[in-house]
Parts: sequence; C-alpha cells; structure tokens
Amino acid sequence: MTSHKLANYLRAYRKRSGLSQSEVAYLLGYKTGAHVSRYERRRHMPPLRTALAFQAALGTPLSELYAGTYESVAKQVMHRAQTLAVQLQTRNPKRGKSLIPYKLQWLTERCVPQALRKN
Amino acid sequence: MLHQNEKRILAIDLRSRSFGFVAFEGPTRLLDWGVKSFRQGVNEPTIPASEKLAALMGDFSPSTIVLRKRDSDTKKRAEMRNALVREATKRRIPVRLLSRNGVKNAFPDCNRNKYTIAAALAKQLPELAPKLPAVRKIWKSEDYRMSIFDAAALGVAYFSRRNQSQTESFSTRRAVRN
Repeated sequence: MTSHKLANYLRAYRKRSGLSQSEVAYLLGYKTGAHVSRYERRRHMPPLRTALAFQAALGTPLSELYAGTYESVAKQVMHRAQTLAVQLQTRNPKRGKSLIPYKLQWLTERCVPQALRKN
Repeated sequence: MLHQNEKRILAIDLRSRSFGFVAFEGPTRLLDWGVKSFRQGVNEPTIPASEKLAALMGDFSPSTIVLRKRDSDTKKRAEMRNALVREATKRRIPVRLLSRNGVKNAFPDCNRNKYTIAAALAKQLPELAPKLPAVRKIWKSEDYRMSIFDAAALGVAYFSRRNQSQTESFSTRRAVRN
C-alpha cells in the first residue's frame, strides 16, 4: 500500500486539458507523441527545456507536474540544509564570519520550511 | 505523504470484453480514465487483460481498488475478476466491492438510472463531460464510454461512503467522550 505522490502528473494534467499526446508533442516541438508517452510513463526524464515547455503548455508549475520527484528532491535538500547549518555553526573560517548568521537565517527561513511546507 | 482525503484509488468497471477505469486521488481529482477492450477473433489484442490491469496498478500504485459487487458473473468477467484479484493480492492492494444500491445512495437526487448518474458525474467532474454519451435508444447497444462513468460512479460512491463512516465514527467518539 502506498500513499506517496506519483512521480509525475503529466498525464492527469494533459487529460484535464483535453489535448492528445501528439498535440502536446507539437506544443513541445516534437514531431510525434512518442516522447510525451515516454515522459508520462516515467520511462524518461525530460530535459530542462522540455520540462519548462510542459509547464508553459499545461499551465501548471513544474513542482506540481513532477510532484513526487519534487517531494523527494525537496526532502534531500532539506536534509542537506540541516547538515550545512550544523557545519556552518561549528566551522570557524578565517574569512566571511560575518556572513554566517545571514546564511543560517536563510537556510532556516527558506530551505527548511519550504521543503516542510511541500510535504 | 498524501493526506487521508487524497487517497489514491482505482475504480474499475469490469465487462466481459472490456473494462473501464478511473484513477482518483481524493474524491474530486481524477488522474486518468479510459476503456480497455479485448476483442475476439482476428483483431484479438496481443496483451491480455491481466497484463493491462497489472500495468494500471503499477502506474498508479493505488491504496484501494473498487469493483462493483455482482450477484452473478459471466465466465469471461469472472476470469477477468479473478486475474485482477490475483494481481491485487500479489501487490497487497485491498479490493473493495460496492453494490448497485451503494452507488445509487451516493447520488441521492439523481439516481433514477445510470444515465442520470452519468449526467450528475459530468457536472461534478467536468473533465469527464466530453466523454458523456447520449442517452441510449432502446434499439441501440450501450456506448462503450458508459463504462468510464460506471467506474467513476463507483469511485465517487466509495469516497462518499468513506466520508460518511468517518463522520459517524467521529460523532460516536464524541458521544462516548461526552
């Protein structure tokens, strides 16, 4: 039994728009719908330009189109942010000491809560 | 993690030569819908129904599969049902059965027949509206797209029943506390 989000919701948003795979492929700049099919079935990950084209074509942010992938990436970033915050607190660099509180504030305000909010 | 109200389910309407399916994530969000048919003879598809059902389960990894409860099954429908249950058991997905009355109770104002339920569904879930077939003439066979609406009705009924039971259990708990 799983209750996690799907890796991508491309098919759901495409079907909601009423467009066919070949029509979306045309919007993305492909000749056939084969690429779209592969992206929907999670066989391939689209390159950045295509992913942004998906966002423009379906009118939905990438974090929603790739909700599951975003969730796992956000978790990893949050974990790394926590580690980085600990490192910054323990580190004693020769230069840039004054920046440390600012960085810590940024990490706690932006990175960590953002990832938590999405979960 | 998904919220309990956003539970992902797969509602399937089994027929003898086809099945309609609707994947839900919560009661109002549709992920996918369609009909898979299995003709006989020269046009017989190479991919059997069991594989297509397994692919659907793999794609959506639902937490529950909802089927219609029937008193009797035709041989082919029973075969398909057995294949589905086997695949679901393999993946540890519970299969829930809903009776016709259970579906009707979920649409209290418009449960005269399946066409009125389908029309209500098209209003409730506008993504399905373009698929709504015209009401069948008595001399015509049923449109294949009705299978999608039958499956969608199962899904909506499942969620409304779940909400009811949750509210009931909540009110019982409150009554016990007081």
